[in-house]
Amino acid sequence: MTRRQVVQTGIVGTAAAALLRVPDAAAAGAVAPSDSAVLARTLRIEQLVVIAYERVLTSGLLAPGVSGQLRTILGQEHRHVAVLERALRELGAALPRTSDSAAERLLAAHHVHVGLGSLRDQHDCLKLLIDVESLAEGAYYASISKLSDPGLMRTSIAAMGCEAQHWTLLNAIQHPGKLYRSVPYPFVQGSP
Amino acid sequence: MTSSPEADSHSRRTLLAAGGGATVALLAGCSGSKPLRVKVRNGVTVQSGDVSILGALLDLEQHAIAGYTAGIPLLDRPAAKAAQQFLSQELAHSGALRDLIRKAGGTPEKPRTSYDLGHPTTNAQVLALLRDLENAQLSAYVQMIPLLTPGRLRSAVAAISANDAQHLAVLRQELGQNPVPSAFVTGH
Repeated sequence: MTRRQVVQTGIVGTAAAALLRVPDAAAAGAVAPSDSAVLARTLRIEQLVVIAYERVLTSGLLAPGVSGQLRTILGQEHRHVAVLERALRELGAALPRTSDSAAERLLAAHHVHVGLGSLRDQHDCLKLLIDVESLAEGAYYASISKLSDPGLMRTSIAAMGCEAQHWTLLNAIQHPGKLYRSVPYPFVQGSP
Repeated sequence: MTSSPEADSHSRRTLLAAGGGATVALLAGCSGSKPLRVKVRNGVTVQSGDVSILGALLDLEQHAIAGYTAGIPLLDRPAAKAAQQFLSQELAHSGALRDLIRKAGGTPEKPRTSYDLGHPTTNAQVLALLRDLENAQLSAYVQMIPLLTPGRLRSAVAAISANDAQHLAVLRQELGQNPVPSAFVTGH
């Protein structure tokens, strides 16, 4: 078999596999994800956010005043994690655990370019945190459309508002006096 | 302070003056947010049963617009600049909600002829009024979004709510308060 044949076979094979997958995909699309699956996805992102804040706060790269503000935000992220974990337990679901290496992979998968291990200065730290806050906003934005329980929706809306406030505060620290960068858009959707 | 036509001439003048600014801000807000607004308009299904909820949220947005419009002339310069930006965003919210109501076959209500805005005169009093209006909106969004039927509509409206949460953080900071006092923004 020539290289071209291998490539062509591969293309046909890929297309055939895609066609074969269509009924499954359609069926999967017709079924709404369970609340526990939606919450577990959001919790993974919140765990990533906590890991990012902890890494930044132990980096030694922050001005003292900034550290204090970030510690306050981290406390609120821990509250989000606790509430999501409690909700998952009440649904009888297993709790996901995001390790540092999984967090790095998650950042790469979401195209966050400042990694946990490549922080050089306060600017990098804030850039990373702004990016992970965007991911948290995006996770809640997606979850609000998929959850079925109204109470969980309200919790997600309230947490999303808090993440949006964190995003604004971080941008205000990163770009002082430039309000248009702290609250730039009338619709906050975060990053997918 | 009121945006009523019966208000005293000074208030009316300041309101009209701010209204001129609001028109400019509306244009700027629309041009800046057009892709998102189009996304809201074209990408979301709306059911007729959602119209009354969207109408209630629109009324609160219009109340906030009246507050910003009347309050901006009374604010110090840095706060006024922020408020001008927030006004343009509130106008974008109002436009999006109107689009959604029309999409469901409803007719959005026009702004009321007057809104009770109290009688703030100082920078801090106006900021406190705007903070309270943002809190009122946030409280309504948290309570009402789960009542909306299509999931994507809930997310689209939550995107407005999250922006109002950002306004609240800045207004609180301008007032010398903790900008993010709680892990859950409920408007209370």
